[in-house]
Amino acid sequence: MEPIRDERELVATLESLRPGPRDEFIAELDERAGAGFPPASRPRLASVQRLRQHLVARPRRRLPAIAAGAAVSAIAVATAVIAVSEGPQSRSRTSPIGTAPERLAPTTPAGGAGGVAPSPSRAAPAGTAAPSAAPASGSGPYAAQAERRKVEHSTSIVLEAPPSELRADAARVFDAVREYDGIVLHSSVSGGPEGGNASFDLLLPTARLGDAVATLSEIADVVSRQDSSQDVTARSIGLSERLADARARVAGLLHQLADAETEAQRSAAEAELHIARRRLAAIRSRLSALERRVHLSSVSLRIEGDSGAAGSESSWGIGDALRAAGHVLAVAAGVTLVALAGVALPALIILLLWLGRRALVRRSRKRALDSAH
Amino acid sequence: MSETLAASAEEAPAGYLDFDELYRSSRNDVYAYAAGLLRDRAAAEDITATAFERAYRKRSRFDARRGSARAWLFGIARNAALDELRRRGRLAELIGEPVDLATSPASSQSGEQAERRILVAAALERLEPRERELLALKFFACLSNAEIASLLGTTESNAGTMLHRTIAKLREACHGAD
Repeated sequence: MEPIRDERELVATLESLRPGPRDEFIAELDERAGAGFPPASRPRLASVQRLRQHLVARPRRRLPAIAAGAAVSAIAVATAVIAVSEGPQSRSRTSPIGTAPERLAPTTPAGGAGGVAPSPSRAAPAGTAAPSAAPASGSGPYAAQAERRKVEHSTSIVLEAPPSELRADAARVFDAVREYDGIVLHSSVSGGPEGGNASFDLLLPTARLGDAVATLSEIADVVSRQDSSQDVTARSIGLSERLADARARVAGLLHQLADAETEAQRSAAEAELHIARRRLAAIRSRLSALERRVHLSSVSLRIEGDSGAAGSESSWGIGDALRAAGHVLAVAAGVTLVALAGVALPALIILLLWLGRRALVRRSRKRALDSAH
Repeated sequence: MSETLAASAEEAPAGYLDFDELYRSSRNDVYAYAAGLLRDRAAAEDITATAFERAYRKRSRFDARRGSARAWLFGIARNAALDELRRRGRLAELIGEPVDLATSPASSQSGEQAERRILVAAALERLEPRERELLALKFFACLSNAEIASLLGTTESNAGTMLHRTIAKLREACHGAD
């Protein structure tokens, strides 16, 4: 047989080898195509298949828009819920110090000696452990020592009130100090119809400091509040030990004086005794001052008369609106960030898995052709 | 059939391909390609149906900027065929009805033509699967070099070169058989 002479002949022969489909198959396929390639015969899959076809038939670009819309709606709802539940953050009228004892005394667990009592405890002696209804934050090996710790507290409060209410508010300060057995070290009130201020330097019993500050905070709008504390237990112990040493020294010198046999010995003992007694007095004075600072906390209170301050809770200004808007935006940004963080990692994992699977399928398809017979 | 598909095409937004036209013009070509690659009639019918089903479901995703509709369709058909080959690779035996190209009916053929067909069909069997696929795409599916290049992920000139080499190899195989 003659070999195939040229490429044209080869191509023609090749084309003649083109397989054709069966007529029955063509008819069946035409029918299915006419019906829009209906889903499989099992009826319970039909609705799923139709839904799938409906989703797949939608232009792809709509799906990200739908997903974005759903995400924005969810963020908006979460923002509204959080913003409403938190409420406006500034101008809090009540922020009782007693509810956050940890902030006040980092070295003193709640209810510690000299610390702030979370609840009124008029019977508790000042400077010692106050019975606390709140659970002690310390539960470690030093919790048992909490009652013996000594802490100095100081608080600074700034309130804001309409100038017309300044004097009445000042009077309420005096009433509050009296109620809690405190001391007004210094006070001044000045102002007029346009503005003014009142300032107070107070000493309040530490055991009732929380309640006292809460009462003072209710007098007008709180603009700012600062609390500080210092643990002086070590200093107190040191002074107490030095006091004991000084007493022992005085006692020893008194014995020495009683045993003196000569005038010279007596003079020497008296001179040393004089010095020892002066030192004892000084130590005693320092310890007393420390104890006083522990038992009586200093509070600096200032009331600023501001004609723009809200006299009643119903007034609402541009500043309040801007603050509220800022608060809502901050919450929305926070919710969005949290949502993105929560979604990003799973989405990344899914994306990586999907890409990996696609790469695997692509590679195995290539291999399939090479390994075909 | 054409009315239903035409109706759905009319309802579809602008930019959708004319699936009806694509189906009519490519149906036999897709079958011929699948049969040439798989050499199994039943499998070729399944692949053809699967390819058109998938193309119908994905018709909204067709992007004319990426290539012609036929290249897109044959991409789907090729993947379906390769999935079938993958599946076969996991099975021990080839199942189905083998296609004997040499016995495919020709409208009229002389004895010499019939002998040439047998010779070329036997030479085809000796080619590598990739080479067989290339010839199936070109002469059974009637794709252009540009469409073949798009399908295989290569350049048009490279596709032409590969085709030329494959045809030369087929010729040698025919001479070798002789």
